[in-house]
Amino acid sequence: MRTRRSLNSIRQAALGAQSQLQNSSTISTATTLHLAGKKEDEEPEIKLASAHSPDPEVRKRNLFQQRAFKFSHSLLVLLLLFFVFLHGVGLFLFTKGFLLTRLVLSEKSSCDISPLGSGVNWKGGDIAKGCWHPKTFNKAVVIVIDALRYDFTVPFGSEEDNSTGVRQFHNAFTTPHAIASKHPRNAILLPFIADPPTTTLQRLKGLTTGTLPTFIDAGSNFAGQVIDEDNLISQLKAVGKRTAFMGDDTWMALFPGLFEGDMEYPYESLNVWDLHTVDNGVNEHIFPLLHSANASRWDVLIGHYLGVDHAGHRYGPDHFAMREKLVQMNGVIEKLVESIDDDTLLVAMGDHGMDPKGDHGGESQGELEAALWMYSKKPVFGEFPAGLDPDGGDYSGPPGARSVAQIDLVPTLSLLLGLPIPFNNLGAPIVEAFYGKGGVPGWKNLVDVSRLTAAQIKRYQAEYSGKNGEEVEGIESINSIWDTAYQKLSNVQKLGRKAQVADWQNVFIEFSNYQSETLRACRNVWARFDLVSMAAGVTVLAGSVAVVAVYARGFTGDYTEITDTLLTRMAKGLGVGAVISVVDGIIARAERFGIPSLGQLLGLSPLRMLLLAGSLGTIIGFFSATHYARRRLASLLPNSGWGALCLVFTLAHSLIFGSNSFTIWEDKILTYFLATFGFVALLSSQRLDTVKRALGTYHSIVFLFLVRLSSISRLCREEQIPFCESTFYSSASSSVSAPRTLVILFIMALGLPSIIGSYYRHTNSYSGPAPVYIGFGFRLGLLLSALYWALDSADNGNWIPDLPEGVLKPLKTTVGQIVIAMGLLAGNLAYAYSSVCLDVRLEDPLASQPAPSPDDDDEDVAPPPQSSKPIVRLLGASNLHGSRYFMLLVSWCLALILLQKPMGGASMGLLLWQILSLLELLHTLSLSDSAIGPVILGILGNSHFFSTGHQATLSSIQWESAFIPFSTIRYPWSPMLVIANSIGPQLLTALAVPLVALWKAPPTVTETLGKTAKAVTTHILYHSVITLGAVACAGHLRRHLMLYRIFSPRFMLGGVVLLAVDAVILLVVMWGTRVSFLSVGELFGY
Amino acid sequence: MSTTQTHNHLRRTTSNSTSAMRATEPHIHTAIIAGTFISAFPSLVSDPGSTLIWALPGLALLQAVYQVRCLRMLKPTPSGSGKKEVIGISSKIISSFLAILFATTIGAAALYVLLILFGAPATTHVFPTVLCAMHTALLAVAPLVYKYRLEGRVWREVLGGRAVVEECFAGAVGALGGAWVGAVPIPLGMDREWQKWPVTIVTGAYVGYMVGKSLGWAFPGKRLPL
Repeated sequence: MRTRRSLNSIRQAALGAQSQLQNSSTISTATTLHLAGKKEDEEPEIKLASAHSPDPEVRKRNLFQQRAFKFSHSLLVLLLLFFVFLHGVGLFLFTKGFLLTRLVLSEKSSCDISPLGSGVNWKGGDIAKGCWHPKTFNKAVVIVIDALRYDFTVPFGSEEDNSTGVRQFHNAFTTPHAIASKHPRNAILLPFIADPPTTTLQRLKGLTTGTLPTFIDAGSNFAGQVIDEDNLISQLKAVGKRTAFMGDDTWMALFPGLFEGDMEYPYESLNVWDLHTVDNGVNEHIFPLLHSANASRWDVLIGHYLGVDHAGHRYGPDHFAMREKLVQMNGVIEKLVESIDDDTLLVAMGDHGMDPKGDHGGESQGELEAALWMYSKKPVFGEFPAGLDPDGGDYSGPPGARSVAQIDLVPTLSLLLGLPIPFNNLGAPIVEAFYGKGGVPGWKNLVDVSRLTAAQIKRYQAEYSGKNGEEVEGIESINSIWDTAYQKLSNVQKLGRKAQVADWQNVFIEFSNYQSETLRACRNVWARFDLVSMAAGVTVLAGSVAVVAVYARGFTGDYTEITDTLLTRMAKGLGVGAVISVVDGIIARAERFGIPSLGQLLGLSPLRMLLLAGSLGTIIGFFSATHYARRRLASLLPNSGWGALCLVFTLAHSLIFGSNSFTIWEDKILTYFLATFGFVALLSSQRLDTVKRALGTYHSIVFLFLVRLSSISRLCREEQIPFCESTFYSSASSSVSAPRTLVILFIMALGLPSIIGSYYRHTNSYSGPAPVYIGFGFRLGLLLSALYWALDSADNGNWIPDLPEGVLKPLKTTVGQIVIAMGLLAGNLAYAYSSVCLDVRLEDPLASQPAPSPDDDDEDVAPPPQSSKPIVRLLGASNLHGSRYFMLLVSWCLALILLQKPMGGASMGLLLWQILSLLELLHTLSLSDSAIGPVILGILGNSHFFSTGHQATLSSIQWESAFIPFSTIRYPWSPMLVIANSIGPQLLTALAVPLVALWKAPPTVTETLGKTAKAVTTHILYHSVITLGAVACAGHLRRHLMLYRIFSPRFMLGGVVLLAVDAVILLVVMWGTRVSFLSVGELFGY
Repeated sequence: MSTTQTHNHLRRTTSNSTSAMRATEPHIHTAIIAGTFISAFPSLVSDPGSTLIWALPGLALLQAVYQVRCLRMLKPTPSGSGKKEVIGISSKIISSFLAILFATTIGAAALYVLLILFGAPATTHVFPTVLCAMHTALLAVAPLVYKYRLEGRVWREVLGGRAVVEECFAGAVGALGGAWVGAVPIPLGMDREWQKWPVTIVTGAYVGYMVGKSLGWAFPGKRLPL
């Protein structure tokens, strides 16, 4: 109410002055108001208008203009909606093809609980004999030779013709094959097919859990690498077996605390240039442990050699370094064979292969084909039974050899060692390991193990469907296999001793069918890149970039005029596209035509086809409208140095995602861009006249300084070490803020409002609601936010030891809620009903003319009066739009500062200052129409993403921000809080974009709306180009070694940023500009 | 009066007779810089700090001689009687020395601040960064200071990128642009020795300076398309 009144009072005062002047019988009917502004600003002469003007004509005209404004504003919102639609569809299609999610179930198999259910006669449950199945071995030595490709292990050529095609890697690693062919009952050598991606981390997950890899294993522990799922190692621990480990330190990250503390020897794995440290380290520790004196200390021994992999990365397979390495490994195997006892199983395997260049990560045949060698001094292995199809299953390996899947190792090892099969396992027991001498006992054993495996898979599948809420496609037919298998089993069991080999074989085939069909169904759901969908997504995104680019930078003149044509045609295009895809689907459905639909041809589901056709139609519609309005079209190429700079920044930023090392250093690169802009602005200011030069120089130096200052705060990602030092938290190994950052927060609470105030003051805009809003409200909010973080630190660090438990937590949550409410609730409401930052002063011209008082410094001196009319001064009119809209930014900034950790909050405060300094710079250099403003705001946002302690990695997400205003997780608020914490800077800069057009803009409305539209869409353009770059590079580099570490997270960040920026612009920015424009228009006309 | 005439006459004749040699002098300067840089590059990579120090006096001397020999000083503001002022060799040497002094102190300080602002490490590697700034200042700033003195108006044109293209200005633009581009390969994860700070920046500045200087010589009198 208060603010309402103040708005009215301004109008009343102004109108009063108007009528007063009229009464005093001067000539003019419309009084000219002299606007007090800055000296260097051209003085706009504005006529005061009002919806409540006494003149009905004027009133009518204003009302009409207000409606016209609202109409064109709504059209703009609709247009943005179309852009958002295109972005959404593009990202949706790409994501559906690229990121496949799988639910991680935390259930564990247990030794005591049979997978077969309670009604079955079951003799298991005893660890000493073997939990689910009688065990074959007590101990095991598992050797992983990283990147051991299958063809490294088989002899190549014969003695005579060693001239053709023999490579360095051939015939070097010979012992396994020699033993397996000489003693087939003691050893088996098989191609061991990996599920892509063939990276060590994902492979180790597969080799221990028995499940398929996907990028996002959506489970309880989303952030870390620790395997939550049931796995071999945790089963070993659960039944009390002791595991020793040496080699690649990835294991330590995956299975913390599961190895025996005195028998774990991890080695740094990432240094590809070092071929020997890890291998020598493993050798140093493994052989002493194998010595009979130490053999009782462990049950399972895991060794992971990296030399072969590193030799591949560094030199490629056809190099003598590789040969040396393989020969060394051969020696290791020979020594291991000598060292183990009768009761120990020796497994040597590769976790993946390598491509011809020696790299891996993708899904080429060479990368997928690793080798598996199992050896025992007891003759336990059997030959592959003649009655089975050696090429059955989805895992095709090299011709002439039977292949097994890597996940098959999990049930095999579990059952051989007498462990329960891990809950998530989808693999099958390896036939040779259980067939033994063959005959009926062999088949019976195979039926037993395959039945146990299948039963566990069935348990898993039931649990998964229950958790996921939807069934895996085609599950009915798979379940019918289960029923058939059980039917056959009971038939065979009825036969008793009369059962033949063929009968048992039939049952086995059914159970293994069940396993392989489930696996196939799961793989279809989880583990394939859908290239068509990805390409469709990239196409739509690229189209949207073209559309936004043409709209944002291609049109000349008034934007509001073309919007309706564009909208009509886009809507028509959308409709036509949708109708075509629906009709296409219907025709295909009517089977008698026998025409497959386009969607079927492309392998896209009807929904995706509909979205694709609709968005392509929209894009085509837009360009047909562009063709229609071609006379309004200008070249998209930059016509000034600033435009070229924008192009360089945007393109360079989107191209860095093609290189892993540039992507890693994105934070530094963005600082570099910003400094470049500041420096160019500094140079460019030298071209201006004296006053503007001083201003431009000052603001660009402030900008440069702030950029560097905020870049000090950073949280290094793993790949940046050792060239980077984290400053975000109190130390490199903690995630707690240092107490000194709290001091920064309190200083900021006192200082930042004054700084903002100073930017308001020099256009005399620090009047009206501004002092209350900024000087009081914002300051109080910042103090409370600092108090919140002080309480948080006190709680974490137990600063007040005497305080009873449970006092600080509710207190700080309440403070957090208050700040959020102040920023988002009270702030937005106050913004909506606030008046403009304007003050009216009536002056006697004769009195005011001589000697301006010191605080009059910034004001314009009115032209020398001809008569003794009193002059109405409007203080703050030269930044009417800007000062009004900026208050929205202030209130949102308050909430976003609270959601950041103390150091991040300080970074957000700096960001607000930087925005102001940038706006002044843009105004001084007359760049309000250029693309540079929105682009620099985008870069600023992305740059502060890093200085608020984030990185483009999943592990840097600050999950705890969900608990700032709440003590428990609440949907949908908690995810929104985490997003607001993660990309708060991008959201704040998106909010600030209209200011590029509004800051110190003349108080007109229609024209300014067009400029605002241009600025806002340019900002969207920047973000969509960056996201397109990240998306296209992630899709293109889907076989890259670093896909899951670097490119995928960056793509996800890009997608989230684009959609969130779109949403903020559509909802908050559009609403904010509408409110601001209406309140300006009410006073000054449209 | 007559002495001045003779002097002028003498000057003219000497400049005529040696004009061919004079014209090649800027290129000799470029060639010396190029040759020295290429020969010193391996030691720059292996030990940037001491190489940069060791090269600094040489570069200062080279630039000083180049300024005296090849550059014509901007005439002081034509406030005088219009009488042609002849700048003696000693005053040239002093100006050149002062320009070098200015560049290695104030110019280098400004460039050092600029390097830090662009993201150079502020707390570590201080010494190499300072040396990098001094080298860049000797290349970019010293000739400009010698040529334009500290004339505010001209300097504003130079900073604003509006000055007439000639060797000094184009060389300075080239040196700064080269140093800017030189930062590009730093993050590339190739683990090469030459990627270490500030080798790429210095290399960029030198290469840029030589390219810019030669272009400035080839296209004098033009203006940058900004």
